[in-house]
Amino acid sequence: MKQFRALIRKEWQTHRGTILIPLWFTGAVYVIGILGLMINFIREGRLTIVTGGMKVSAMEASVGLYGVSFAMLMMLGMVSIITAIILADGMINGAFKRKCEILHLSQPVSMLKVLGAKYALLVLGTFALSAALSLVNSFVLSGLLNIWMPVHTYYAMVAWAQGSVGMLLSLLVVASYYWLSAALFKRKSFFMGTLVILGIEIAIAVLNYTGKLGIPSLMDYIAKLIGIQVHIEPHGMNALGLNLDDLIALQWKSVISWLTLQKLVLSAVFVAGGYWFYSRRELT
Amino acid sequence: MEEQMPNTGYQIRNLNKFYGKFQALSDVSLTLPEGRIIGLLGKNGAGKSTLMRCMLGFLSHQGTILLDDDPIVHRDPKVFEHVAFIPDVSGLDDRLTVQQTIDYIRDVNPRWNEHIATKLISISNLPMKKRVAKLSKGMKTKLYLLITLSLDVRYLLLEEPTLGLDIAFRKEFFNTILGEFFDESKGILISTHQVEEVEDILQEVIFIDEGRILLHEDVDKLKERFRVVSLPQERSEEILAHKPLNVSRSLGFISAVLDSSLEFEGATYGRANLADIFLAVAGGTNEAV
Repeated sequence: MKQFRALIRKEWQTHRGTILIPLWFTGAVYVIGILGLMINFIREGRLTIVTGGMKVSAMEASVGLYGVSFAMLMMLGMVSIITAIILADGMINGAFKRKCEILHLSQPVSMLKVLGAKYALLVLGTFALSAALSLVNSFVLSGLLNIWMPVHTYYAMVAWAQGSVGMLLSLLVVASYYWLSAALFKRKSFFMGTLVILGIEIAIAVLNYTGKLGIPSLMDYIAKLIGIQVHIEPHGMNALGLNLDDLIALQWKSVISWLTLQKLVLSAVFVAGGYWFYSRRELT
Repeated sequence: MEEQMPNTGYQIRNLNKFYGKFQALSDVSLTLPEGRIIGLLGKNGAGKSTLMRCMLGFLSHQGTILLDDDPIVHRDPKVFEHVAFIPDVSGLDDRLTVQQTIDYIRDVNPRWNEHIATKLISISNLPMKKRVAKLSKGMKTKLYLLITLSLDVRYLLLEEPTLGLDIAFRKEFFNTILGEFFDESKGILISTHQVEEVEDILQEVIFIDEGRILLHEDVDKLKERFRVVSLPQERSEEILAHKPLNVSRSLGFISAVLDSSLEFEGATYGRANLADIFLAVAGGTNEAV
C-alpha cells in the first residue's frame, strides 16, 4: 500500500498541471460569468435574467434547472475527456520522452502497481475532480436561479448524479482506448489512435460500397458509446404525458443497459491490452 | 544452525540478443561474482548497454541470465530488490524536486536504508526544494548516487555514470561508491569510456567487441600478461612480425602492446594500461575505447 501511495503521489506531482485542467476551465467560466453579471448589474442597476417575456412555471423552471445542470456537467465532461486523453499519453510515455523511464522502471514495484496507479489517477482522479466541480456548479446554478424563480435544488442534484454516471462511463471508454493507444505507440499516440479509428471507418465504407456488406459504421457506434442520451423538452414531455420525475426514472433505468455493459467490457479490454503491450516494451 | 548458502552472483549463459536482423550480443557467457569490481570495456556499439539492459531484464533475450540462481525474466521488477542501476546523468525525472525524488524512491523501495540516506543527504548539500531540471549535471549525479547508494542492494550496475562531468566530480563519484557501497558482499559492474579513471579500482575486466566477449580476466594478471614494447623505427619489422592490432610511432620509436613472454634485445618495456591492452586485443584507435 505504501508503494501504491508513493506511485499515486509521484503521478500527481508529475502530472498535476494536466489533471487540474477541468479546474482551470471551470475557473475561467466563473470569471466570465461573474464579469457578465457585473456588466449587467452596472447597466441595469439590478441582476436580471432574460426569459423572453414568457411566464415560467415551477415545473418548467425545474426542467430548465435539470437540463442546464446536465448540460454544464456534459461540458465539463468533455473537458475531462480531453484531459484524460492528454494524461493517458503523458502517464504512459512521459517518462520515455523525458529520458527518465529507466529511473521509474528500475524500482522493485510490480507492473500491476505501476500501471494501476497511473490508471487510477487517470480515470478516477479526473472523474472525481470533474464530479466535485460539477456538484459545486449545480449548487451555484440552483442558488442563482432561485433569485429569479422558484426551483428545487433536488433536480440539480439528480442531474448531477445522473450526468456523473454517464460522464464516468464515457470517460472510462475514451481514456481506456487512448491508454491502449499510448501503450502501443510511444510517440503521437493520440494521432495514431485516432488514425486507427479513421482507418477502420474508411475500410468499412470501402467494403460497404464495393461489397454491399452493410457493416455498421464504427463512428456511429463510438458516438453511441461516448454520448449520453437525454431528452429534456418541456412541451414534448407534456405531449407524452411525462413529468420530470418520470424522465428521471427513465434516465436511471437507461444506466443499467446492454450499452453500459458494452462500455465496461470494452474499457476492460482496452486496459488489459494496454497492460499487455506496455509490459512487453523493451527499454533501450 | 542452518548454514547460509553463498550467493552465486550473475551467471550468464549463451546470451544472444537481436534487434531485428542485427545481432547485438553473440553467445555471451560470463560469471560475475560478488565482492568484485568489474569493468566492462568496449567501443561504441560493442554491446555494453545491451548486455547491462539484458542483465536488468529491460530487454528480451535468448539464453540464460541467472542472479543468485534465479532467472532474470524480461521486465520482472524482482531483480531490483538486489540490483541498482545508474544509467547516466540525464536519467532523473526533471519534473520532480530533489525532495520529491528522494521521497518517491524511499517509499517504493523496501530496501531503503534511512541511516545511509540521512548521512548522504547531510554531506550532499543538495537543494531539497529545487526542481531536478534546475540542477547542474554534477548535482544530478550526486542525487542519483544518493538515491542509489541508499538502497541495501548487493549489485551495482553503472553505465557511463560520469559522462560529461568534470574531473573533480568524477573522482568524488567513485570515491563515494567505494566508501559508501562497496564491500566483499557486494558487486559492481562499471561500463565506461573513461577507462583511466576506473583503472585503479577495477579488479576484473571484460572486453566486449561486436557483441562478443573477447576477454574476462583479473586486472593484475592481465597487466602481467601484456606489456608495452618500444623499439627504434628501423627495427619495426621485429614488432610487426607479431601482428599487433595497434601500434604507435613517435620520436623515432615504434611501440606496441605485446605478450609479456616475448623478448626483444635492447627493447624498452613499459607497463601497459587497460586502454592499451584493449586496443591490442580488439584493435582500433584510442578514441574508440
